[in-house]
Order: sequence, then structure tokens, then C-alpha cells
Amino acid sequence: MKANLAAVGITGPAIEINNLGIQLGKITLLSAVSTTMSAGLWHGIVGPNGGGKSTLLKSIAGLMPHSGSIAMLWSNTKAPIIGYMPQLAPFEQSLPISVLDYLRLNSQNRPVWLSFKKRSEINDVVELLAIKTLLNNRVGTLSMGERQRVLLACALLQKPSLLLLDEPLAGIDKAGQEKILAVLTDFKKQGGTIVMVEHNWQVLQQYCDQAYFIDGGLKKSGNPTEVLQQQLTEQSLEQAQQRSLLLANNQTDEARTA
Amino acid sequence: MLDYIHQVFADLVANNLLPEMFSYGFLINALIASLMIGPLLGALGTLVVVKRLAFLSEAVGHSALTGVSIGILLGEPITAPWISLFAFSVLFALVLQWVRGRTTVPYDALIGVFLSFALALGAALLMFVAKFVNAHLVEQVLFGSVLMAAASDIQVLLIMFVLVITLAWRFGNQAFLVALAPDIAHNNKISVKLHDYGFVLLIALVTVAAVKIIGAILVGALLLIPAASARLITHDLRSMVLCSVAISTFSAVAGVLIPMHLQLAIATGPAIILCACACFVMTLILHGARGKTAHA
Repeated sequence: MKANLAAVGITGPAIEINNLGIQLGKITLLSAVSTTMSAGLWHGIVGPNGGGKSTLLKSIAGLMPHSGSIAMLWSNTKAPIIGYMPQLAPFEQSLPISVLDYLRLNSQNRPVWLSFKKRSEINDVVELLAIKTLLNNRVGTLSMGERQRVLLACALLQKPSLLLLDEPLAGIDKAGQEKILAVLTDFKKQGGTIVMVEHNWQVLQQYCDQAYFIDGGLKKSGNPTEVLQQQLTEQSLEQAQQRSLLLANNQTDEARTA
Repeated sequence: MLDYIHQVFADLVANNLLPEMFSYGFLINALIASLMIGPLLGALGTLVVVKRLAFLSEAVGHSALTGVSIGILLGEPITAPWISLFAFSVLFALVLQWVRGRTTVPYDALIGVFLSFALALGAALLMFVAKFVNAHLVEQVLFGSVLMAAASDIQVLLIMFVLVITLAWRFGNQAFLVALAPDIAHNNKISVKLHDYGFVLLIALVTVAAVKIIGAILVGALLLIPAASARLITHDLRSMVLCSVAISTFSAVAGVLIPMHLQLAIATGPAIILCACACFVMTLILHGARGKTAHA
């Protein structure tokens, strides 16, 4: 399998999740998640707030203790590097940490306070995400959309083969979204695997190869359009059931009043 | 080496190139010590401020008080109870970090509990120890003294200086990334836990190494004030670190020299911290003036 992946230029890993469960004290955040995310594809995780999407992403990144197993099947062509973009990075406004500092902290061992030149890889990522004008701004003063781009830049600076992105488009205007999506499309074309938490079904349908509907566990997975259809059908069924229940209750009340 | 430096200063004094006070060996020792303490505490202080752990450095400083008392009780030399001092402070820092990982009590509250414990134990032991030693020595432990910087203290400081510079060179960026974005750091294969333990350990070691000059009560302040001042007037990490080191070194040197020059009966620790506070007030004024200019 590894040899085949390398032959077709896929550098990203496949991810095999087997019976994954995550418990926080007595609360079950996720249970019995089993699926395989194919290498070199763009995977979208979708679901309601509090459903466990970010938890799943964090556990894939190795940031959450869990039961069950998560296996990364890397091709041999590239070092197994993961770029992780968290949903929220709390930046304190008054701290004198510039965007350039932040990128340097992510990409070099030489102490930031002894660095006087930008490294070429920082220049490349900065150009790619159009954040050159932000380099001297404090990270704490950035808008939500600007922060997202800086965090994505940090993930890309690792030169990863797998990108784990937690709502990378949140708070970004249309033009900014298109920029990021174009960068991610290029990343996938180069053989990388993307796993992204996203609420926008339109983005999922247009860009993702696979969608995973998470609500305390894996409820549905497959082609984004099919997953959306199933979800809509279920929702309309639920709504119809609720309507008929409400109607039946009203009729009972009327009968009692009469 | 130290003798050679003393001789150089003595020659300079003999040639009227330096004031008379530089002919005293203890002052030169204190000056050399302050030239190492300044950069050490100034640089580490920036990480303390970014991690918002000012309270931790205070607590570790106060634990040194207990370490000194235990050392004297166990029969260590009164002016150099290094084994107890290092052992207790390091143990204090490591236990604090260990408990932190096993409780839901907020970190600042936990540090408060540990600080109170260290202070209470240190005060109780110090009262007991005061029966056996000169009370003036106790005062020197609390507030530091220019007279206390011996050759062994300079050796200890030199070891800490080299250790911190080496660690800062290799792991400085990682330490700041752990402080700012632990999730990203973890993903970048940086051990957040090891860095957290390393940080408190380093704070303990540096605090203990500096305690004889600045004193147990005030050593934490030099970790905090220069970095807090630098934070007000700088715009990036490099200038913050360099500015903090400059303020800290200036305060340490000025705190040693000014009381000697003016023949004031002020302990070194309070003098250093008062200089640092003066710098803080100046940066505060500068920061306010910049704010007004920006709004105008």
C-alpha cells in the first residue's frame, strides 16, 4: 500500500480510526468512532456544536487521551509531519509578540531575539497567505480572520504531509476564504491529506472528498452531498414527527376542552 | 581569575581612573555577580511574564528562606548553605509542578498555598535559627548583601549563567511556543510537560543562585519588574528580551554601586529592586506618553 501511494505522488497518510472513545470525567464526548480516512484526500468533519468535532481532530493530532486506536499509515516518500491549526489560539493583546515572532517560533531553533533576517520559507508562506503587511503587528491585535491565516501559516511552516485544521475559515471574509481554499487545494494536489472541521456545507460539497457527521459519535460518513442529503432527510423526518406530535397533542387538548 | 580582576580594578583605582570604592574586593565580587544576575533574571523574566507566572517566582524566592534555615539547622556553613538551599527550592518547585498536574485547583491559587507554606515554614525556622546565629545574618538572607558575594557564589552564578545561555540558545524558541500555544507546540513534537518542569526547575535554580545578592524576599521581583517594564515599551519579542535584560542588568549594577557610592546603609536587594521600580515608572510614563501621541 505504501509503495503504491508513493508511486502516485501521495505523501499524506491514511488514518485508521478504530473504536475511538473519549471521556472527560463522567461525560462521554465521543464513543465508538471507527472509520478510515484515505490518503491524499480532503476530509471534512461536520456536526452540531458540542458534537465532538474538535475533540476528534485533537485526538487525531495526539492531543487528547482516548480509548481505541488511531493509526497513521504514512507513505515512505516524506517525513511524517503534521500541521495542526487549533480552533482558538488565545493571544493577549498587550504582549509584544509580533506575527513574525510567532512564525519564527514555529519554524526555527535559533533564538528569535538573535534573528535579524527572515528565512526563505517564512517569506514563501507569508506570500502564499498574503499576510506580509501583518508581520510587524502584534498577534493580539489581529482580527479573527487574520489570526486564522497566521495560524494556518504556522501549520504550513512545518512542511507537513497531513493538515489538521479546526474551522480554518471561521471569521474570514469571502476573499480570504477563497485564498485559503486555493492554498489547501494546492496542498492536496501535491499529495497531502487534509482533515478539516467545517460548518459550511457548501464548502464541504465543493472541496471535500469525504464528509463525517459527528454528534457524540460518527453518525454518517461518505460523499459530502450524500451525507448532507441523509442529514436533511433525517431532519425533515424529525421535524415531520415533531409536527405530527404537536398536532396530536393539540387535538387531544381540544377534545378535552370540548 | 578573580584575583586578577581584583588586581586590575586596584590598579585602575591606584591610577585614579576609578573611585576608591572599587578597591574593595567584596564590591568587585558583587559587581561581577550582578553582571550575571541581571541578564539571567531579565531574560528568564520575559518567559515568566509571557506565562503569567510572576507569583511562581515569588513563591520560589520565599522557599529559599526555608532552604537557608534548614541548611543552618543541619550544620551547613551559615554563609553558604548551598545543599539545603538548592535541594529545598528545587524540591519545592518540582512538587508544585507535580501537584499542578494532578489537581483542578487553579494554578495561581495553588502557588498561593505553596507560597504561604514556604513563608510560614521559613519564618518559623528562621526564628528558631536566630537563637544560634547573628540576627544580622538572617537579615542578609532576607534582603541580600553586597558583603555576601564570595568566590563560591560567583562560581555558582557562572555555572547557572552558562547553563541558562545554553538552554536559551537551544530551547528558547520552544519555551516561548509552549507558553503561547501549547497545542501547536505539542504537535511540533515539543514536550510541553518537560518544558513546564524545566521552567520551574530553572526558576528555582536561578532564584537560589541570586538569593545571596538580592535576598529571598525580593529575588522574585527582579524576575518580574524588568520584563513587565520591557513589555510596556516594546513591540516584538526580540526587543522585549533585550530591553528586559538591559533594565535588569542596569538595576542590578546600580543597586550595588549607588548605595556604596553614596554611603547609604541600604541592603543590596532593596536597592536593586528600587532601581528596577524606577525603570518601571519611567517605562510607564513613556508608555502613557506614546498612548497620548497615538491618540492625538
